[in-house]
Amino acid sequence: MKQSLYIAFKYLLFHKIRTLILVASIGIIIFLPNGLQKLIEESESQMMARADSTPLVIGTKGSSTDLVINSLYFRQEKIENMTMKTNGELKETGLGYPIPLLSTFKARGFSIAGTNLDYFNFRKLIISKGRKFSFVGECVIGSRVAEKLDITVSDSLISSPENYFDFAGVYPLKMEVVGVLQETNTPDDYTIFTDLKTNWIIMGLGHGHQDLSKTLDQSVILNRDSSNVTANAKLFMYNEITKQNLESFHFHGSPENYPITSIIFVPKDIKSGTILRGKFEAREILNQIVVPSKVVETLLQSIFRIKQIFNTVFVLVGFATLLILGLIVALSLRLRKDEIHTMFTIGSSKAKIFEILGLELLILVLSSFLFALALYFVTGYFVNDFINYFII
Amino acid sequence: MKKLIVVLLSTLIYFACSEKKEGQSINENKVKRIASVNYPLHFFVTQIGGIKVDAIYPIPTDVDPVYWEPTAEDIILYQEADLILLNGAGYAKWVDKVSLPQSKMINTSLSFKDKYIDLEEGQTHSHGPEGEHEHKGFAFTTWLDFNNTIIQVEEVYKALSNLLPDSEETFKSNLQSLKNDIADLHKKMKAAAKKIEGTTLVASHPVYQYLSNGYNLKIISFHWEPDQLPDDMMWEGFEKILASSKATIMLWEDTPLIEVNDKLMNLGVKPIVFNPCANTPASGDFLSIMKTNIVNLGDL
Repeated sequence: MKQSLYIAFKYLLFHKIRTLILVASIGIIIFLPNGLQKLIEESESQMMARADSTPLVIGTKGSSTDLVINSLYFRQEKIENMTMKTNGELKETGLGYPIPLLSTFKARGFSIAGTNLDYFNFRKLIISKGRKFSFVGECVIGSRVAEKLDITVSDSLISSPENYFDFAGVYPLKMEVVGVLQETNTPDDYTIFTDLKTNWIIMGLGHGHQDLSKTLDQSVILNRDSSNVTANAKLFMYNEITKQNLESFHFHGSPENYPITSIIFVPKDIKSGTILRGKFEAREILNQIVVPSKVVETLLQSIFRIKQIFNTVFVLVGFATLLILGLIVALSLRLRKDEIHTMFTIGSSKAKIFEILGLELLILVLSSFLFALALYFVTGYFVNDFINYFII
Repeated sequence: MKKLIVVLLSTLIYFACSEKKEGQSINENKVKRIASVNYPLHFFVTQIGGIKVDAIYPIPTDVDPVYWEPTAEDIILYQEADLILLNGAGYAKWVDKVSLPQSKMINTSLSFKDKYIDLEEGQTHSHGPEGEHEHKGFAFTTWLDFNNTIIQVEEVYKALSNLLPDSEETFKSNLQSLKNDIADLHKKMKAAAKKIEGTTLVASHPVYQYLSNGYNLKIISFHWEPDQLPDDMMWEGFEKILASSKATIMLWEDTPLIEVNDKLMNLGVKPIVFNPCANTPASGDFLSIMKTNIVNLGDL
């Protein structure tokens, strides 16, 4: 047996390329249905876990899927903004607490999520380096953002302009990284968190500039009277918030009208959540309220239908591969006719020859299984990418 | 033998320290931390919450809490508190520039926000396509009208009771006692205001809007500091107002400089200290300071 195994092993080693092609093709065929199953199952469990941990999401009327995807994954689908007025109304209900979100901007390819510190407590996010943001202009980054951009505490990030041709539009803001989050294996790892106020500054609703009532540079003043000073376009706006200019930053207009993309609402209990949904049904509060788990469930059901089609395809491909494998074995036996005859002539029994050939096949199949197993474990690392590229 | 004694002592010290630490952490878990943005709110928390809460107030005594500029460490104190009490009406300008957990923030004057008093003074500025921006805001010493104070005290009570429902009865009894004291102040303030009814008062600083509104007092405000000498232009402006208003009383947040005091007396104006008590007083507390204020006004 040991000798047969040795001969089989040596034979396969001699025909390296052929062996590798066979192992790879059989391995991939074994892996594909199982790997996809794993990807879908893990994606499903990750997505459902994220959705289940988010009790209610409120946003403007429109696609509930876009609303949930934006609120849970910070994927910046073009959803209509709502105002902070709704946030105030929700807080006043006393049924729980709202967490406003504004996810419109990006910095170096990663979404900037404007929120407040309740989000950190709600998601149980832990700071691994530095601290939470304290002042406007500061940001906390997810672990993968830190890793991919190779930045850490005290580095900075500049928000990307919405439109490169709009020179008078949104100003890029240089934000200081004050903290890095511990890895959570959720979309939070790929997000840059700032205070809502920082996002409003990026939007231009708040800004900092020299004090017009005290400035000695008359060239920035267009008109001055007892109650109003009008500046011209020369007025320099700060694009970075520092300790020195923090005092000069101010907001315009009523905070009630400031935009947000959605609100996560955390009810005190199930009853409070039901009462709140009733208020939306009765149109006491406008906008739409959705239960993320239901929206994600619907989204996943469509994916499951695709999974069934894939499974059928894999069964057929697997069957075809088995046939090809059979053909390869048959052809291989015919090619090795002389070799088998030689073995027989030098005294090998028929049983021994079958044992050697059988062991060759066994090694091939086992190696294919090992290859498929390795691929199966590697798949786990691509769950987040799979969710990002194929599901949302 | 010596070695044995050292080892025994070290072990004893180690266990003593560990026990203390454990005790502290249990204590930390139990006592809820309540942070306030000014002294009156901090005082209300200590009066209503008593030993059931840990009242946090990191603002130094020599700073006006409205214009305090906190450090990142100060902000962390507020961020980690279980409740953050705000005065509302734009008080504590720093709150707009920092990140605090919204669910823990309570605006104690929200229920009377429609009664906030607009600031008369200030300058707007314009630039960009948005046009003119308003920068005036509201008067913020809301507690100088004791009717407002009672509402704010009740809000503090509600917030504490929601946080610690088991201690509600204790809070209720403490609230009643505090409300009685404030009601007494209100009564005395009304009597003192009655005495000077129809008289115009001048004030060193525009902080008495709610006092004026609540007790029907006519107050004209200036921008003078108790520890600074007004320049000639300021005196000139003051005398002009004095001639038209016939004011004989000037309210000060703190005792003015002796030179200012004498000059005012020569002009026939009596300086009276009416301390808004926005920050921790050097001696006494909110109630005793307000009592002294009312006595100062009533003694006229």
